Amino acid sequence: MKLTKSWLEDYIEIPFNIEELCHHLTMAGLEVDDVLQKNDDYIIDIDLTPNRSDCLSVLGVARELNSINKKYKYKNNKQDISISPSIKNTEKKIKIDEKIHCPKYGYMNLENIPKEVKTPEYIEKKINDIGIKSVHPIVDILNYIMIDIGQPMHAYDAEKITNEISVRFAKNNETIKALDGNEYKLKKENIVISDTKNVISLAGIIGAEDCSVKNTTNNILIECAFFMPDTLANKARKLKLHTESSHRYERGVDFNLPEKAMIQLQEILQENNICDFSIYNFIEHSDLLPVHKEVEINNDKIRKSIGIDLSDDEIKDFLISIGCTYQKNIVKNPSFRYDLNIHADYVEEIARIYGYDNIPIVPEKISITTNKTYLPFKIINQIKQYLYKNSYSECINYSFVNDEVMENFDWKNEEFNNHNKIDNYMSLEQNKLRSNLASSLINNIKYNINMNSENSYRLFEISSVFGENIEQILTCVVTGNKEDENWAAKKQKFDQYDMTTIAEDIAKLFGLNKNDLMYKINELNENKNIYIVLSLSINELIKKIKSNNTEQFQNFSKLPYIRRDLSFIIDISTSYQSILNLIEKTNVLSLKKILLFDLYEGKNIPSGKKSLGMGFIFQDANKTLTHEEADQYIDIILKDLEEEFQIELRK
Amino acid sequence: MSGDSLKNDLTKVLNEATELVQKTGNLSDLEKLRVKFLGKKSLLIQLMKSLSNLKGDEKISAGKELNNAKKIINDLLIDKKLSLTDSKNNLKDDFDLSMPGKPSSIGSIHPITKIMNQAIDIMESLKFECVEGPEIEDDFHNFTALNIPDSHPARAMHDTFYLENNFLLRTHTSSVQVRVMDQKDPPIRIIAPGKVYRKDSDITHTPMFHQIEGLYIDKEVSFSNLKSIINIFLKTFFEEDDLKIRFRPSYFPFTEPSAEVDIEYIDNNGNKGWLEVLGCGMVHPNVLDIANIDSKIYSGYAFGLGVERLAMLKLGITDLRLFYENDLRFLRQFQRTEI
Repeated sequence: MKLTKSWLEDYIEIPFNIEELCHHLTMAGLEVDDVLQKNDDYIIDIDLTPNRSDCLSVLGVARELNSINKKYKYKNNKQDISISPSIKNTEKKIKIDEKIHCPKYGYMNLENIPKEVKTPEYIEKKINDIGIKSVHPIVDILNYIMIDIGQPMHAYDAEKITNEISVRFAKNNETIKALDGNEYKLKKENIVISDTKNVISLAGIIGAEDCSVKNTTNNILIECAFFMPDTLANKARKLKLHTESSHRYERGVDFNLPEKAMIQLQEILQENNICDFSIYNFIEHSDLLPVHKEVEINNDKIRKSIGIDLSDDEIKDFLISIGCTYQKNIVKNPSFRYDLNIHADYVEEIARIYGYDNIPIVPEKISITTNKTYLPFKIINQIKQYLYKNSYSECINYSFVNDEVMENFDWKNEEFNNHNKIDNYMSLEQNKLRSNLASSLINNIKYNINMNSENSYRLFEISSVFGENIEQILTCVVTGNKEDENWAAKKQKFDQYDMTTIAEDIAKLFGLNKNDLMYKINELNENKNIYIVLSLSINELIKKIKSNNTEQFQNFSKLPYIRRDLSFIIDISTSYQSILNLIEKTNVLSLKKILLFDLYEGKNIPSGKKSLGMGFIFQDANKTLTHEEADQYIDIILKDLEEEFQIELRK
Repeated sequence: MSGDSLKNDLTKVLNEATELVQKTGNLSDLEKLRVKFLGKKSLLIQLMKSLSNLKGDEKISAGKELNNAKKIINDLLIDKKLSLTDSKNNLKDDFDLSMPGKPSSIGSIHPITKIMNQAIDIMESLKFECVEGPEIEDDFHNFTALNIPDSHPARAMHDTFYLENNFLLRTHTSSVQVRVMDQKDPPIRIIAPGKVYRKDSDITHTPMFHQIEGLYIDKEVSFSNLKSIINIFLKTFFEEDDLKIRFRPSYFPFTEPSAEVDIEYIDNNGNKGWLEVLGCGMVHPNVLDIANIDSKIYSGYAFGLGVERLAMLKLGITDLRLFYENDLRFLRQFQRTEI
């Protein structure tokens, strides 16, 4: 809502400077977004909340200022002028089919509009100042009245419409070519004004182009109606329309305004000698107009819920000052306040008039004594700390991605259908919820490669992915050298086993084994760049941690250990885990530790084979182990490996 | 043993020791010298043992002489030892303290994570329990249960991303309130951090951002209490005891009275202004009623913090889009650990 300081001064005295005025408005809930000085006047832009339709006019804002501070005194400079309509009202047959939705409909005829007539200067200046362009004297005057008191009106070219007008619901698939040049397909829920042939306006929203007022228009039919807020709510938005008129009607226009608006229009026409005009007629169903809601005021509840000490009388005075009627604890809202319906609405009004800044600060007495920290966040933060201390940088990306091939795979690298397409996406780049984090992180690396001259990238993100289910996962993506360029270490490329370390470390951080985790490691080739990706389910990790959250001491032997090494050739497809599983089955209790000290493929090893070097550490809990015993154990293991995997010992 | 011969012997020993220690070039030779002059079989120690043969003043003065000599030799050895150790570093090692170390292993934590954690820590210390809710919501939890019916003009304030089957991306973390009230009876004291989505993208809006919702429901919760908790939070968060905070009336369908909270800031030119940091209010009775909480007995407050806004203010970031570009020149500025 834009208005000027001088326009406000038509209604009230302003004994404050502009900063003070804006502060008062803001602190009353009419947040001043912007102030612009123009000559000796100020253009004030108020960011109105949708509940305050009463302030969508200069009169409303003046009224609000007066109610919060009586120093904004009303001016009493309005002279009653006697209005003498110069023409008769042409008989119109008005049929209100939808009385419930349009309980008041008024019209008036304007005739003989001279071609040379101009918008009164003061009106043109006022509307221009707040950014409304002059279009036509009558339209300008209607716009002026709308901003001045808040009543939208509409002007039709009277010669372009028939004498029979009805207010009804649109028929299915009926259309209107509107003033804005667009054609709108209407539905049954839309209220329209129509003559015998066409829809002449979309009620309270926009008029039809055919019967719009132009410079050549001689005669005009003025419409000034009251439409129920609920009837218009949401209708313009559904048609992707938004007009000054719809903005007001759907939020609620004072149902006592239409007559006042008509009188104001007549006064302006007469005083400025614009054109001939008739008396105005109203078709009113007063029983269908909104009712003033009665609410019983509970003074104690008001005091307690705000935390202030106001007397019953002060509360009463506050309510009267905003235009309510108050009798024996029963308060009734004024016709311009659609937002006052229940007790809480009045609590807010009292707090507002009292001033939020004046409400004391009182610490609460809470009965809650436990101090819990949220486990999932603690776990996630530990992982982030670990990665951050291992040279990884955390990223946060939008949850949307482009619907490309890679996106058809979830983070476990399984193909799945696009469940999570966004119906009303903003751009094709963001038309789907991502099912993995890798593609976002790879894009981050590509972006950074363009920006920085580095050859080692290590990024991670912990976020939700949207696949068959919503799941929180960690993804690390690395590319290039293992370390930033430096003088000390040999350049070594990242490989997938670097990611195994991360998985093992994360497991260890929470007393788990990497086999307890649900994770995937992939290598992706794109434009000669190799990206190594680890993805790990945080949900699964949390589940595992919850069932295993204590640390327990286990006794260890202090007796000497004996180590035996085996180097052997085995099928390349035999997994390390299957070797471990087999060794476990041998049930050699003294085997305390297995370590893999060598992995080799290539020269001197037959193709399809790999060479492994494994160390076995034996130790007994109760006695010193002999070399003979160790040899016995390693023989058992060797025999099993030979039988199961046909390994061949290397000499 | 006469006094004179003792003196002569000592002078001889001292001269020899001084000369030999000076000549020594390494620690093992020096150790040999220590054994030679101060070891069990050394002349000095033998002389000390024979002190018991002397009597009276003679014994006292001889003792003094011997102790003195022992101290001198000891000092010689220590000095030499120090100089040997020292020169070893200087001469044999070209360690340069100013050289860069081997690659650092410090990465970075996203500023949103850091700010979020700081806020959560403060709130947890104020006995709010942290909970989470789903990012994909239905109309009921995101709107209807929060007193935002379909026709409500406030829906236009929330440009919503819709998915299939009328599901949507939550437009605020307030939806978690509804889920908590559904599962728990008052007193309820929770915060709900997370991602939220609105169909809006310009210099001051990103289609995804982070919020922390707070909710407290109990008997006799007042607006004064709300002012108190917000004051404590903001002053703790910005580490400024005399931070100027103002509450001004606003409108949210799910709170009444509703307020927006501004903090005072001073720009580069020294001009004072106000910056909005959060929205809050007393839980609307309709919201309590929908959740089957008796609004005659219980009242409550709710607040919603914009994490990006808090981060920008605290870290001095002026461009919102930096948060989601993930430029390492930005990310690496946040290497500090939390203390």
